[in-house]
Parts: sequence; structure tokens; C-alpha cells
Amino acid sequence: MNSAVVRGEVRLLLRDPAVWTVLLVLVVTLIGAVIQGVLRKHAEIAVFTEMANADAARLESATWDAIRLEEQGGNVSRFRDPRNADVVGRRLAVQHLILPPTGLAALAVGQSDLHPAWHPVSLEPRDQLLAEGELNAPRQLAVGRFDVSFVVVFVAPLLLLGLLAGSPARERESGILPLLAVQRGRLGGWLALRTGLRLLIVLLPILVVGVVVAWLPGPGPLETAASETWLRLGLWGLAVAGYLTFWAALGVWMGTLALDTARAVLALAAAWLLLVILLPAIANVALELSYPQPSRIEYVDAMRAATDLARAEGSEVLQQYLEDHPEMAGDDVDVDDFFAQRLLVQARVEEALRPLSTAFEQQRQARARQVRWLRWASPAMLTSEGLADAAGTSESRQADFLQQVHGFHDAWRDFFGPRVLAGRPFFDHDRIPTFEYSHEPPTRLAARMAVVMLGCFGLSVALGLLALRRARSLPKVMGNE
Amino acid sequence: MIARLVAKELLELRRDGRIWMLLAILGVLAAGAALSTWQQVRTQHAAWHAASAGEQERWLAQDEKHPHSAAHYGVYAFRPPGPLATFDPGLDPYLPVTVWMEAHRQNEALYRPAQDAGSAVRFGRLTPATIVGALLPLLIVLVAAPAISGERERGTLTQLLAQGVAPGRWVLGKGLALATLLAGLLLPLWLLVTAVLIVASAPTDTLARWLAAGALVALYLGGFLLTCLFVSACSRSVRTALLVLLSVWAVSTLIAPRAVLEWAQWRHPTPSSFEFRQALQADLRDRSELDARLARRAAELLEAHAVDRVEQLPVNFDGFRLQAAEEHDYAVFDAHFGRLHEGYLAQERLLQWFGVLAPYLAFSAASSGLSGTDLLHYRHFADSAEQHRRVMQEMLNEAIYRNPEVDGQRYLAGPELWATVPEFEYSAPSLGRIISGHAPAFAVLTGWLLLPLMGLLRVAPRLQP
Repeated sequence: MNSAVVRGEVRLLLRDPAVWTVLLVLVVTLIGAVIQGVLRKHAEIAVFTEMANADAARLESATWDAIRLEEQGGNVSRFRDPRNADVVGRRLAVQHLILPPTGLAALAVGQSDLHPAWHPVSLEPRDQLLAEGELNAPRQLAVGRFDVSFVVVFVAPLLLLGLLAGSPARERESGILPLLAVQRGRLGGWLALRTGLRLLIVLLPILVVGVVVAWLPGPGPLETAASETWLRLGLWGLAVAGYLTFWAALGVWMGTLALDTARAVLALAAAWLLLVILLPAIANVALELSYPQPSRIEYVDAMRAATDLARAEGSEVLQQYLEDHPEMAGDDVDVDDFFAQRLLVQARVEEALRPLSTAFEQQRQARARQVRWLRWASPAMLTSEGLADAAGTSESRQADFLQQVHGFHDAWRDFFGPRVLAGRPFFDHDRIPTFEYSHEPPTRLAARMAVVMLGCFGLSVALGLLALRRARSLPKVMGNE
Repeated sequence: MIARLVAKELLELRRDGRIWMLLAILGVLAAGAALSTWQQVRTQHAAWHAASAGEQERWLAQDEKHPHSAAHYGVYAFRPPGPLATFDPGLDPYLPVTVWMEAHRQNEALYRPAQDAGSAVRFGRLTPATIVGALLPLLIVLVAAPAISGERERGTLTQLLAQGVAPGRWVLGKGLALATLLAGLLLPLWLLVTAVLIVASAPTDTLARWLAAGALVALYLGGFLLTCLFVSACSRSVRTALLVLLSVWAVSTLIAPRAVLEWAQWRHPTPSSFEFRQALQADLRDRSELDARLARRAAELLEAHAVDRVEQLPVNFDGFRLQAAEEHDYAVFDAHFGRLHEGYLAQERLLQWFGVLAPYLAFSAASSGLSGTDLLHYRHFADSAEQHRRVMQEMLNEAIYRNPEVDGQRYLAGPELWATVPEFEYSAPSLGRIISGHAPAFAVLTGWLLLPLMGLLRVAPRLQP
């Protein structure tokens, strides 16, 4: 490609008011989205820090109270006694497990506003612990947040298509195309240069924003490591580039097909509407018709029935449970003890509920599998999920965290269960298990993201080739017109 | 003349194949959306009905136990789907479905259905209301944007004016033709649903809501149509008219809702769950006033019955103690939950007022309100459940108060007491309350109808070629 042509294109771009308008809109929306994201992340980390401090202070106070009561004596209700393993495991040592935000959390809210990034762990039933959530305003959950992901997925394609403005149909309409066709150099090359420059105008500010967010210092030790942040940034940047390249390729291909600018612009607007708004909405309708989501109302109803049954069976069931679970039944278990009874009835209820919760989870998983397939209905869905994944706010990371919460809750019960059943004074405050979040292996994240990039870049290449092929025949088409 | 103009315009519209194609696509989408929401609401309704009945059955089937044990056993209240949830599921997927009513505490409602729906649902779902609110305006833009600007661009407007056609009447004819097209599209569907509601003996409230929803749709789409005609009358070319109107559409349905909500969240921040609970617990821990009240009452009773200890009283002081504690906590719960819900509603009001810039905001707020799937209904449900919890606790504590221990034996109540506790029955707020709650939205939409109408009345008679 002749450097004069490149310089000419750049000069043309700099003089085009549309370019400056697009840049202004993009920069303003990106700044708004980043401010929102950074403030949100800081507020979130402040709450996490407060949670961790409150947990530590409560446990420390319980430890000292237990020592003091043992040394100095004094009357205290068994329901408040810091030497009672049940009281400690259920209330005084409650630990809030936290999913640490990544360095890119400010870029995408993802599913983090719907699924809490923390779960309390205690001896209470798991269902009850996991039901706790954030109080986010329902309207905001329904509408979604104004984050960088939104700007990338919804706004940026519109701006890019606006910049392309039906090219090369516009050049054909204005008579420039025949002039270009008789120049040295290939028409395809010129088209690629023209499109590439416009793509860069939209892509670069977004990538800069990504780098700035990754570079901004986090407000505390609860964040993920810097190395992970840069890896995520790389994947995020590739996903953004793939998505916008797809739109650029689609824009040019449709521009080569259209007879005039007006039709090209209208067709591009329709494509945006179809791919970004309609197809995801239709996919949701199809999902709802084929894989209805499990009903929580039915689940609560069944849970109540199972709880009643277990309670009604009373101490007989307790005896039976201890026979079935000899690991829980030491020689010193007092089955008449209230705390022992409560713990075992609770275990019995959970056991009775297991088929139900397994079925519920299976239905949820089946739906999630369908959602993974449905992403392919639209690059917008595919990219949105990918951007959330890179930012660490996707459902996949949340599911991985939940698995860790389940594992820790089991460890918690294994630690406190025998001590509650034994009924002896509890002084193992310093041996209570502590949670450490285990980071997802980068390869797993990269594998998930590769699917997104493969999808977008694959489509881009296909559309780009179609556009180039069509561009080569444009002069002939013009000749026949 | 107007009738002939309308007939001519309708003939042109009928001959336009693109309109038929768009209408066919919209029809298929609407049918799919209605089927999906209907199926979901039907399932929700069945689950709600079964769970509510099951809960009442379990309550009545309790064994003999101390009333306070029954108070702790509690009852789950389930939120029913809104009366018109099939038309507009609104916030339903994001509103908790159940709340546990037990002794001592007002619990937060639990389980938002969207949590189990998967990430795809965040892209929004196609519902009859989104078709009316977001897609039909797009159709209006495509049809109405060239209505006047197209004639101007083609030069036919010059010819018409030269023939002495009154421009005001001509614009009126255009507007009536487009309104007839829309009415021809929507009115039969609306009448069909009205007939189904009547035949199915739907409650009067549901029918009234449906009538109001019809008026809302007419107001919103009428405003959009007039805006399109006004922009078309002011534009030199179809391209300009389309660009302006598509920008209005994109800002109204896509950008404004998110941007305005961010601002609303900043103005009326929602506390984190942890902060909310910490503040609630801190206030609940302050029992000094309660202790003083209990001491006063105990002294009064001891004096009145001339005994030394509360255990000697002919009533069970524990009943009074429990009820006094409940009443002490009411104020704390009211303050904290009240602030939380007020914050949500303040965000909603702001959203409705911003309908001035983006009418879709006002439409979606009013539509979900009439459908019973908005925050106002949710708060009404949460308040009703809390009122029921309080009635329930009062009855159970009263039973304890009236039944002191006999020979060291605690009073055990049976099915006769459980049966006296009324079943939780929820009925949605009245239409009048919904309309007053969404007054900003209706006011804004009326403005969106009147302003372009006034603009057209001014521009149309002076139409320039």
C-alpha cells in the first residue's frame, strides 16, 4: 500500500466531523462507565474489608471471653457461652468467605450484582447461608449497569458502523470508486486500510481504558495479583478487538452488497438491532420455552415439608442418624442435648433434601448448558460473557467460588460437628479453619476466552474474505449497472 | 377531504411490501413473547398456589407445642405473579419470591428468580410490553419519518401546495392514516384479550388494569407518532428525519435507562446487605427503653395482684415480655426497611421523571406498575407480609399471656389456637394507588403527547416545500 494513500486517508479522517463526534461520544461514555466501575469496586472492597474486620473482632472477643469465663468463672447462658462449640460455630466465629475482585472488576459488572461475591459460613444450614444476598435495586438489576462492557457491546458497534457509513456503497454512490479502481494498488487493500483505520479509532480508546483500569492501584490486599490482572487484560483486549473486528467486517461486507448509502446504513442498523437486541431476546424466549428455570417457590415448599418430617421423627431419627454416621457418634454423644439434637436434625433435613437440591441443581446446570450454546446466536452475547469472564465477574467464576464455599462449609462442619456432639467446653478458637480463596488456573480462563475469540475472529475473517472478494468484483458490477 | 386523504395514505401503506414484512416479523415475535410469558406466569401461579396452600396446611397440622415454638416455626409468604404479568413481567425476575414470617425479626425477602436463570437473561427478554414499548416505536419511526420529509424530498409537497391543498389538513390526514394503521394492528388484539378476561371472569381490578394499560399504550404510541410527524415536518430530507428519530429511540430505550439509573443510584444509594444488617443489629441491641417498660409493667402487675414475683401472677408475664420486645423492634424494622424501600422508590421516581428525556423510561415504569410487577407492588407485598407477621405474633403472645404455667408445666397450645391465626392472603394495591404512584410517568407521557402536538399545530399550517 502506497504511503501517500495512507497519509491521505488519515488526513481525510482528521477532517471528518463524524470522526470527532464518534470520539467525543465514545470518550464521554467510557469515562462515565469507568468512574462508575471504579467507585463500585472501591465500595465493594470497603465492605469486604469491613466484613473481614468484623469477623476477626468477633472471634477475638469470643476467644478472650472464653478464657476469662474459664479463669474467673461467671454465669452465662449456654446459648451465649463462648465455650459452647455450637455457639461459636454458629454465631461467634461466622466467617464471610469473599471472592476477591480482579484488577479488571471495574470494567464489567457481569453477574456480580446478582450473585453475591461473599457468603457467610457457619453451622447454619447451607441453603440458609447461600440465600443471603445483596440488596441491589431490582430496577437496576433488570436494566443493567452502565459499565465499560455495555459501551463495548452495545454502543461501540453503533459508533463504528456510523464511521463506516455504508462504505464502500458511499464511494460508489459519490463516484469515487471508479476513480480508485483505475489507480495503482488493489481496491481490497484500500478497503482494508480504510476500515482498519476506522476500527482503530473506536478500538484504541477502549483498550486505553482497559490499560488504565488495570494500572490503577487497587484499594487493598483483597484484590487478585498483578500478574493475573495483566493476563486478564490481554484476554479482555483480544475479546474487544475480536468483537469490533467482526462489526467492521460485517459493515464493509454489507457496504459492498448495498446499492446506495441509505440502504447500506439502514441494513447495518437492522443488523445491529438483530444481533444486539433481537436475537438475544429471542434466544431467551426459546430458552424459557424449552428449558424453564427451576422454581424456588417449589423448592421452599418441599424444603418445609422435609424439615417437618425430620423434626417429627425426633430423637428416633437422631439415633438412626448416628447409626448411619458412626463418624459423628463418639462415645460421649449426649443425644438429649439440645445442641446435639439440633445439629443432627439439621443434618437429617439436609440429607432428606439432597435429592431435591440435586434435582434443582441439575435443572439449573442443564439450563446453563443451553445458555452456553445460545451464546452462539449472537456475537454480542458471546462477547458480553467473555468480557465478564475476563473481568472476573462471570457466572463461571462465581460457580467456581461456590464450589469452594461448599468445600469450606463441609470442613467447618467436620471441625465443629464432633465438638458440638461431645458437648465439652470449646477452647479451640485458634484452630478454627480459615478460608483461602484458590485462584482459578489461568489456562482454564484462557480456554473459555479462546472460544469467544475464536467465534468473533472466525466470523470476522469469513466476512472480511467475502467483502474482499466482493470488492474485487465491484468495478465489474459498476460496469454492468 | 380528510377521509380521502386517509384512504389514499392507507392504500399506499397497504401497497408497501416492507410494512407487511415488518408487521409479520413483529407478529411472530409478539406471539412467541406472549406464549413464553404466559407459560411462565402459569407455572409461577401454580407453584405459588400449591406452596401457599401447603404452608397453611403445615401451620394447621402442627402438634401441641408452646405458642412461641409455633412463632419460631413461622410461615412463609409467597409473592403471587402480578395480575398482568403475562403482558409485562417487569421486575418480576429480579424481585424476591418469598419471605419467612417468624418471631422476633422482619426477614429480608429471599430468592430472585433471575439468580437461577443464567447470564443470558441479562440481555433482556422479549415480552409483549417490550414489543409495544421498544419495537413498535421503531416501526413507527420507519413508517412516519418519510411521511412528510419524503414528500418534500421527492418534490411532491411543492405540487400539493401549488394545487391549494391546506397543509394542516394534509398533515392531519397523514397522522390519521398512521394512527389507523396502528389501531388496526393493536385494537383487535386488545379487544381479544379484554374478551378473554371477561369470559374467564377475571377480577374487576385486573380488567380495570388492562383497560388502563390500553390507555397507556395509546398515550405512549400516540406521543411517539406525533413526535415522528413533527420531526418529519421539520426535516429537509428523509435521512435527517431518520437519523434524529433513530437517535431518540436509541437514547430512550438503550442508553438513558442505564445512565439515569446510575445517577439515581448515586443520588439515593442502596446500602450493601452487610451494612444494612450491621445498622439494623446495632439499633436492635439497644434495649434500655424496653427494659424500663418491662420493669414498669411488672411493678404495676405485682402491685395490682399483690404478689412479690411475676411467677405468682395469674397471667404469664413471658407473653407480655415477648410482645413488648416485638413492639420495641417494630420501630427499628420500620425505620430500616422503610429507608431501604424508600431509596428504591426514590430511584423509581427519578427514573419516571427522566421520561421527559426518554419516554421509554416512563412507559416501562407505568406498564410494570399496571401489570403488578414493579417495586410498588413488591413493597406492598413485603408490608402486607410484615403486618401479617405482627398480627400472628400478637395472637400467639396473647395466648401465652393468658396461660400461665400450672404446677411448673408450660402451656401447650393445639390446633384450636393455630386455626385462629388468619391465613396470609395477599391482594394487590388498588388501581387508583398504582396510578397515583406512577403519576410522574403518566404526566411525562402526556407531555410527550401534547408537546409534539402543539409543535405540529404550529408547523403544519406553515409547511414549506
